Amino acid sequence: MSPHDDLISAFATWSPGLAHDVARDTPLLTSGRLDSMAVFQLLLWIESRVGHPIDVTAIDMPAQWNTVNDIIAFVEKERHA
Amino acid sequence: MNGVEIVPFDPSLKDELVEFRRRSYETGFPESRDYLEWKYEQNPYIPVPIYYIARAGGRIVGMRGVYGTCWEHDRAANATVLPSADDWAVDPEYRNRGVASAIMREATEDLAKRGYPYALNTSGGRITIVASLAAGWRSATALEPVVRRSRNENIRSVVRARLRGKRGAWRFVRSNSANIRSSEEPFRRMDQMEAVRGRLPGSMIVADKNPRIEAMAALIARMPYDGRIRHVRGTRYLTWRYKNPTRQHRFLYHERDGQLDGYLVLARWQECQLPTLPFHIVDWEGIDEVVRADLLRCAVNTAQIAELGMWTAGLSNESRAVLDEAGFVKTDLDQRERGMPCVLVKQLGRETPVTTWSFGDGSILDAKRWDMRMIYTMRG
Repeated sequence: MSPHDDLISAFATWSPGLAHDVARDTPLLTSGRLDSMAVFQLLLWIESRVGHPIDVTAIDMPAQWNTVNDIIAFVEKERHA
Repeated sequence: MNGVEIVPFDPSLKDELVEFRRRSYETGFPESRDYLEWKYEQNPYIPVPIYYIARAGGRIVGMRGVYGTCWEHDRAANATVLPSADDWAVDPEYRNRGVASAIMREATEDLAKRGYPYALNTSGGRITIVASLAAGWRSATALEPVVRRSRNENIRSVVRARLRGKRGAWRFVRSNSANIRSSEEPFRRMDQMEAVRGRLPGSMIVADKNPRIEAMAALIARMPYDGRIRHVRGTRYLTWRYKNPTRQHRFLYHERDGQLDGYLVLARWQECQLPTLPFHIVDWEGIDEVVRADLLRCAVNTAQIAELGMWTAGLSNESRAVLDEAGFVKTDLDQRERGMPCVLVKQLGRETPVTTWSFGDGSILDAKRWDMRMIYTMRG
């Protein structure tokens, strides 16, 4: 399973409704599709993939985590940082 | 978001709103109504309650409140009223359906129309902070919590940390943990305290249940102000602030020649949910470090609080050294690594680069410009 699909599957565990109609380029944050708990779960998911805590106040979340593609790119960058 | 509408507050909704908040926050005590009335109806800066309410199926399914704050931000002590967002709740049935986003969208549009340049959130928990950052809010300053634990509490704390495991604890949000009633003993000890001599000749420290509003405001007014962003602490604000029905306060006053030279305020949550600490130092003023150190020592020795918390953002190096010496250490390290807790800011009415978010003499997002105290927030 690609990391993109892994993330999309994870959405379903956070909230069943979230897995439907989410493509790799679906806006997640700017559209308001993720509620507060789901955004928090997303943070935990990202941290589990990069292996360290993320200072969320130091990043521009709507720009860097808006789509599945954005999030996976962020994870890859952090893992190699 | 079928079937959900965002409506402004109407007094006919008050009872339902009080009950919705009570249920959402699982408080029950103190009475949700008293708290909301104090915070939103008696507020000195925005006395007309501002709530954004989501309704569906004839009932409230989401809410956010906005109360007034007033911040000095330059050497001339000019002050600006800013709305502070709080009391954010969405019915579990309606989560992940865009309700929270719709409430905040309506809130930011309406607050912009009212002419406010920014909205703040100074009391957000970790989930609210992360969700707010995702919605375009920015952190202005981290609040840098510290704690002083008694010896017994230190041992308990180490055991708790080991039981929690490696990184797991932070992952699980406190869920439905019952409220605990905090100990009344520390404040009983404060109430029995006799006057204590300070180190400065002729100085005394006394404890009081009541705020000396005029003297506190006069002390703040006569002390030098460096122009950093801080909440106005005049008589009107202090009078309102120390009436928070969810908190008890005790005041230590440092007096010399009949004049107030410093004060320290302890606050107690009468009920709280772990891991929130029940006791905090919420304000701490003094004409010099000797006065401040004497007040701190007196508070620590008299109250003998098992875990006493405080924020250190904006404190001078000298004051930090005083805290170090008294045994305060950094706490909530998992949150600190993530930049939390923090003051959140949202620009209203326009979308310009964060580098242009000015307030007074500089950027509102410059952490060095903030002189934060817990009393400025609903944590205090």
